[in-house]
Amino acid sequence: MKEKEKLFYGRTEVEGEELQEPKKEVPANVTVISGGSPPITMPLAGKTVKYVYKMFKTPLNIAAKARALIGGKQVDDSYILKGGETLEFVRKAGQKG
Amino acid sequence: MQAMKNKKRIRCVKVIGLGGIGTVILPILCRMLAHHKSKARFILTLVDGDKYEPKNAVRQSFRNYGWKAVSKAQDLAPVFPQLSIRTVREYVTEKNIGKIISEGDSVFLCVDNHKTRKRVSDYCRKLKNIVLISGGNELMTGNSQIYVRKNGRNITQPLDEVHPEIASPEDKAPDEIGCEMAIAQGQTQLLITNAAIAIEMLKDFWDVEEGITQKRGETYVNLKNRLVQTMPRRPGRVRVKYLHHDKSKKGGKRK
Repeated sequence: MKEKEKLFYGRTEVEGEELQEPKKEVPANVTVISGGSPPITMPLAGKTVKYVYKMFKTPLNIAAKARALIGGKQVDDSYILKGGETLEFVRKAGQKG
Repeated sequence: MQAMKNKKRIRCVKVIGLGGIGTVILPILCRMLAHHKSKARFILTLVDGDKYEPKNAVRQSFRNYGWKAVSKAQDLAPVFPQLSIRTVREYVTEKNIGKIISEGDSVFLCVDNHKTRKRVSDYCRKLKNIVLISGGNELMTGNSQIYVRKNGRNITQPLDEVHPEIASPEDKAPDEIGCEMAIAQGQTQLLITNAAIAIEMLKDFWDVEEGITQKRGETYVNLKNRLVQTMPRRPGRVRVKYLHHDKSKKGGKRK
């Protein structure tokens, strides 16, 4: 029987033989922005907006009532993030001039 | 007929608030208007009900004390004879806003309170064609927002759409407060922050003049980490990325 080989993640897979090692699922990346702070990209797909808010409240200096936007559209705290999305916590507008 | 052809189009630009941001915007804006590619005749209106005092010289550029609008008009008129410069020595109030802002204007809003921002944004919602560029800052951070309406439709979001602090302002407009309260409200600012916001506002104006408004909306500036970020503020329904739609309904992969 001819064996057809192909590379699979650096390992050689032999046709008809299944890989025993289970695949590790890594959550897809989500970019978190709060105006004026450097954007953070992390594997946060599947997490809620509330979870991300609590996680980044201090490092991104997010205001208590900051609105959360995905692609410019407002979302609730319970919204579950998907891979490739950009979550923006709107920073307060400057007051003085 | 020839006279009609030779007649230049008249355009109106208003600058409301002649403080730290307003005084940085003016000389650059005047040069942009005086040498504008459209060859239109520009009428520049300066609006402020305050007066320049010695303490203002720390951040604000002016030659004479007195009414801010008049003082700046005196500074700019000899340098830019191509422009018609008018002055309004009043704060923007519910009563006079209709006289100050008109259909088709480009408005630079450089005030120091959210109450006036809300007032102007609400008024602009009623107009068919308007370009409103608003800027504000704290000590080392700030933002510039652009609100464009064209043929009665919002091209970008109004100022208060995603900003509850503007939608329900806790501060007061200068026409509502006394002098003591105004001094108490005064906070330390930096000229470089004022200038950074002014430049972003001018960039917004330049984009509109070039016909680029799709990707504009709100620009954040943070001088601490030298970061400038622009976030689009599209009105109404926003298309969510195709990735989140049901692909089976679309019939095939997206190129």
